Amino acid sequence: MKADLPVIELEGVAKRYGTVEAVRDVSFALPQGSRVALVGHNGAGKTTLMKLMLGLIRPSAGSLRVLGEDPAAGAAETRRRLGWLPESVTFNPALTGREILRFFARLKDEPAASADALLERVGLGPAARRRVGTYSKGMRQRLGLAQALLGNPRALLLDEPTTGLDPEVRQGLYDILAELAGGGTTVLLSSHALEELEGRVERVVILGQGRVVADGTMEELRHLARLPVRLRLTLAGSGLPDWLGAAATLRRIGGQVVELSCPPAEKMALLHRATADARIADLDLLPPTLDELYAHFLRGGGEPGA
Amino acid sequence: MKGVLLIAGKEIREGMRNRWVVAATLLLAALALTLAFLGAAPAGRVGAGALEVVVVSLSSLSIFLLPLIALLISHDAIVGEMERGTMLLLLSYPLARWQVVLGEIPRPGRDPGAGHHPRLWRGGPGADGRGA
Repeated sequence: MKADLPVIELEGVAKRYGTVEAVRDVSFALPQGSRVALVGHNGAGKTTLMKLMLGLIRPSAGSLRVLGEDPAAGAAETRRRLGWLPESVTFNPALTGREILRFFARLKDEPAASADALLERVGLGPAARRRVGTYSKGMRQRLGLAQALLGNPRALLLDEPTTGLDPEVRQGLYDILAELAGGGTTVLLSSHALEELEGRVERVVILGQGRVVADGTMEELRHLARLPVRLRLTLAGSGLPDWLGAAATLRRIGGQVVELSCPPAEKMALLHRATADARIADLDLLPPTLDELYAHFLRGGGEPGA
Repeated sequence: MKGVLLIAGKEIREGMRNRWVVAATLLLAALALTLAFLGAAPAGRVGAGALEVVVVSLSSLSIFLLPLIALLISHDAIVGEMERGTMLLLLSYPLARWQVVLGEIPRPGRDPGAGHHPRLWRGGPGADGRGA
């Protein structure tokens, strides 16, 4: 009966600090086993939303339910099934990784053995007996992740889990998240690097100034934004083919290389011409990057839900 | 109550590893030895026994120094925890806020004001069902 209910549900949530509105009228629901990214610039309200979901702060307006309960009520059973990785947590450098994780495990009523197993899982097994002060940034982040994974959480909130991590560790982190989502855990992670989320999450919620400016899969967002595709042509000769026509969108990059942007609808027609023309030596198609997409939505170009 | 004991245990362990404790112990030992040596010198003339002078000096030393060191360490227990971001993390665990605060107190040293910090109490008790 509980399975079909959304794990996390927000309705018209707002949070004000004095005159500052950190979060305004945010509504979304995350079903079980989904992987969702909260994307926004610094101060867009990502961390505030997570704190609201954890019940650390109360909303000024609206209501939210996490695992079917009001998180601010602080029911122990709900909290035990929630994992959180804060944005910048540094554990006491004097303790070892194992001591810290065992401490958190006991707080969640988990056996110490589960803490050791998690350390192995995030690849900290060999460093478990070393002091956290000797850990690298990636290792500290992995210790934080292990902490969030304690007690098989049904919902996992990760606040910028990949900032400052090298590509290999990042890859490992996303693999663990995929595994967890497969097991029915709802994963919500925040990020400001849209680029790396491609293929890692099913849904992206873009926040700007505390509001949801866009919500959907990557494909849907691209479609909504209708950003121009960029075409990079390497010319064989010096002369420009006349069909390139509209010089306004044309940009010379190097000696023989020009770049032009065209709306997605005209892309194929342009490609047909370019491939038929012997004066074009090479051709690169650059789809709009996620960063462009992000910038587009933050400028207010996209109508949410349009 | 279990939560309080767990946090207290961790705090004591952290306190023992903390350089402050080592430094304070060394400082106290050095001062105590100095007092013991110096205290013995004027004993004959003043008429007080050497032992009394040393005891009085030592107790005035501890009156000055111990609260100071306690303040330093308990400041680290609560404020350090907040600055590191682990305080918020603890509060997201199945623990009531009073359990977290109470658990921070038995560090080697104690700041009497710490338990009554109003902001920590906002939001009320969390895990009523557990232990307590």
